[in-house]
Amino acid sequence: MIEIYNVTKTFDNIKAVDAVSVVIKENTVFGLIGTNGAGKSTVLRMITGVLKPDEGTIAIDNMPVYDNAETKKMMFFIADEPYFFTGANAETMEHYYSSIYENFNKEEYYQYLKNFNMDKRRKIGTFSKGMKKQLALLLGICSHTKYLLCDETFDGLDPVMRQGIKSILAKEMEERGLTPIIASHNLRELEDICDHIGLLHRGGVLLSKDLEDMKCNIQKVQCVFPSAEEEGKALNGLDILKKEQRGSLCTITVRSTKEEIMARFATVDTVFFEVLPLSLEEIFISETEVVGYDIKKLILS
Amino acid sequence: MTSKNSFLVSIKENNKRRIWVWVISFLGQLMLYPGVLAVYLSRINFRNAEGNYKLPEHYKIALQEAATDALGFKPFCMLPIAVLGILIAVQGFSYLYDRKKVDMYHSVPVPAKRRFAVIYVNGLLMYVIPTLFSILIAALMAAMQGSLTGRSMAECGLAAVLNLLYFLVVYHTAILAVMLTGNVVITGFATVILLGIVYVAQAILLALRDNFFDTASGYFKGLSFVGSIVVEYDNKIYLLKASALLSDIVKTILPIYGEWFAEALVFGVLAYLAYRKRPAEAAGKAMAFSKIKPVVKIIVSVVAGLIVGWIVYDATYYNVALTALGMIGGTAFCGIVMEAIYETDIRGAFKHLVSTGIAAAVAAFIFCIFQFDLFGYDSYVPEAEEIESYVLDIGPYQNYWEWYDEDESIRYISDSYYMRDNMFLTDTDAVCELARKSQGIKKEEMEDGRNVRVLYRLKSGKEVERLFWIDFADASNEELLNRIVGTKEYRDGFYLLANENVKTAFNEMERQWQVIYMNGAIETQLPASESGRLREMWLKDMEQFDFTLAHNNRPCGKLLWELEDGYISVNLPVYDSFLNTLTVLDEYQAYYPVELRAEDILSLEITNWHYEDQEAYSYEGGVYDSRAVDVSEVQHAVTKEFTDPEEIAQIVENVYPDGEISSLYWNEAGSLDEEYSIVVTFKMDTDWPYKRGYYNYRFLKGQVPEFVVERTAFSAEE
Repeated sequence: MIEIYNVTKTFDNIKAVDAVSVVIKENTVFGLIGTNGAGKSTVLRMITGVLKPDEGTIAIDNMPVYDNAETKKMMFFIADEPYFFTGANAETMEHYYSSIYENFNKEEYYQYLKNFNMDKRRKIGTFSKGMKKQLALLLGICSHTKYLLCDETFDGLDPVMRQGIKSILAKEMEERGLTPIIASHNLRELEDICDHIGLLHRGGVLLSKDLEDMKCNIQKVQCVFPSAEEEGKALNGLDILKKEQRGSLCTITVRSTKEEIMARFATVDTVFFEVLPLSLEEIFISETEVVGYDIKKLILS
Repeated sequence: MTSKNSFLVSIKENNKRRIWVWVISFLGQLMLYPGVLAVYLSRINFRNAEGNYKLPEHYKIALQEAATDALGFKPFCMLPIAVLGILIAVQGFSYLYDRKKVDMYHSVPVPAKRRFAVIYVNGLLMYVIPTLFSILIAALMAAMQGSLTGRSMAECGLAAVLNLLYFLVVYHTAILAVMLTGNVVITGFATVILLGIVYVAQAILLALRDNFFDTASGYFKGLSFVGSIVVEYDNKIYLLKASALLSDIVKTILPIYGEWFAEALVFGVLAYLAYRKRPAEAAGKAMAFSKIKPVVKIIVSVVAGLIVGWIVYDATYYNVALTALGMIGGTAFCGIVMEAIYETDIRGAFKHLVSTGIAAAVAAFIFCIFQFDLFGYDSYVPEAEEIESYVLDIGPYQNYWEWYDEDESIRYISDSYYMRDNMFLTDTDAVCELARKSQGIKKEEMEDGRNVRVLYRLKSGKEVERLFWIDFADASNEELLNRIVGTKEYRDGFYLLANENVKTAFNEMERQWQVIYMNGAIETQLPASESGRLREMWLKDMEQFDFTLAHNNRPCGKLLWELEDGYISVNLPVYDSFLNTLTVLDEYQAYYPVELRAEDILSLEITNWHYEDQEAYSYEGGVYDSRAVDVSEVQHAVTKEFTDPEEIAQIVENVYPDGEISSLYWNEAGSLDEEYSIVVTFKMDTDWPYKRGYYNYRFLKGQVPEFVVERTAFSAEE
């Protein structure tokens, strides 16, 4: 488990990260989302021990990470622009990482290269941006670390590759308990991957929640009431986050479980009612609007 | 067998990305050893083919010397080794400049210590392995030519160690520079600054001291610089090259090696500590540690300001106001430039003006220290009771002496250093009184002002050196000067041959000495076997020596002690009152009066140089102006020959030999007239054994006969 407590980092009098506290549980996919400059990369660089927090603590499985090689053995960091040695190819990079990560699985690595149709002898300098990220991901996965930290790594991957990597991550999570931590500025990139989302804005955490919890606790209901009296009976006491009325069709977003909603609507007379699934985007809009932010401007634009 | 993450594996991996540096290092070292040897041998073989070596032994010796020169101490190694050191350091740690690389290297599970050690050791190997390989190749080449000797191998070993230490100093300095900065350009500046700033600052401060303080002197202690290894490399190489390798290990070699090792150690430790403390976010910035930015800016700006000030001072012919302006303005300008560099933005130049202002204030304060003597440098005279002993250089210059070690090897020593090591004067009241009397009196106000240099050895262990003026014509100084000069401790400290400490060495070397007595026109060589007795007699006569004797009497001649090869010589004054010495000289018919006999002279050629005309052309202050008339071109000299016996008789009454004998006279006021020079031609049939040729004499001051003045007057028509 990665525990980040009250971490602050300042660059040239600018606070890049301000009192961030997040807990990242094992064997989940943690998505760190935020706009450019929100502090995602800084948080990841602190988690991997590249940067030293000015304040606060970071513990990886209860061990400090900065200047601690033992802790770093559990982590592989893929930066937003991964660095490869000048003139190196996939094989050269394998030699380097396999000399550093004791559990690096060469067979698996070369198999993945083959599966993804990547030439191990081709110079990385000739790779596209997406291929470089792909290679970095394969190196990270095959290093067999407990935590894999990806900074904007999925941006720019084509859908096939994205799906392929997702499958590998799922397999690795299942087989050896891999915990991927993925930072992105685009919510849609993370929607189908993450179990838990941390939203960073201006160096601070706006929210950090399990997706399932969020999904279970917010419901969208479309209904038509026969009368205002029935509507009042149905909605009274509910934690309504949003309500839209189009003609007689009423759409409400409610903070509640599906069962509670069903139970409540069973007691009132309705012409029509249906509980609809919320997209991650809708959940975020709802959650952040509550605290006064227009999420669309932050991460969806 | 190595574990997966072993040190050797890391070394190997690191080397994969440093191959080109290996190649450069190998090429460089191959040029420095086998390459240089090949050039030397080729030259010798060419000369041999031309028949320049008379004997086969000479050819062999030349080959051996070539091997020693190529394998041993080579001054031209200074630059390539320094470049190699900087290149290896910067290339090894340059990943710190790049955020992408830092992200990768610092996120992988390699301990920081290990990462530093791998890069550091690899860098060291990059120097050591090519060096050893090249030496081996060169040694094999020399051996095949039969020119490899014990001396060349010993010098090779010592030179290799010295060069390694030199490399380490530069290498560690460059690593430190990388750690303190965030990009390669600034690292280059930082390396140059770290290697040279102390040296430059010292040099400028010493130059300012010598020019602004009347009593400044670096005569005895010389200039002792620190942090100047690149500048000092040549000097050390020549010093070591000249040393007897084995016997000088303790005295010469180990101190140099120890000094450089200590320097390397200090920079190495600082570099490592900076590495451990360096924040990853420093990549790409000008400076890695923001806290030291103002300090660095102030130091560099002040030193730059001192340099500008000194240039202005020199260029404006000592204009104090412009010097102050240059110093303060230069400092402020450098501060602004540094701020722009820190910000990597010209618009940032005027940020942090406080530190720029502090730097300018420091520069202004330094200027005031020199201009207004804020710390009383010129007025400093220690209390007599504070002084343990002192050195006073008061007499005429003695040229250079050589000293003999216990092992009889010859060591070069200047007269100032000889006095520093051998003069221990104890009449502290006398020197303090003389020093205090000189305060506030301008030398122009003195009738016969002499600048003397004193080195106070204080009881606290500190040594303080000063220069002050004594009026030799002031009778009140005579007693004080006699108390100092008329002592055995003064004679021992001033005259090499008077020193009992060298008596043993002198006696052992006796047979090699030549003793010549000369009075200007006659030189007589005395038997070498008499040198010991002559020395004893001279020392006995010297017991009467004091300031009064030296000031009021011109020497009647001088004894010249020199080794048979003429390499070393010592000049000793002989006075008319030195009866013991004169007795020995008489025994060998070596003594002749210094006064010339008119009847022995065929002609006198007298030149009046008319220097007053040259002086008239130079403007006040005596500073040469290239746009004005070139005073050196003003030649109004008039030469006349005098053959009339009566005129000759009148002239020779007032002349004295020029040169080394006259320089032994301690009386400036009664010295010789520099306006005139006299060349004497002797007759062939004299009974005094004049050496044939020309002898230079000069008139005693104010004693030029009127007819000489008239006949040598300048006329434009001539």
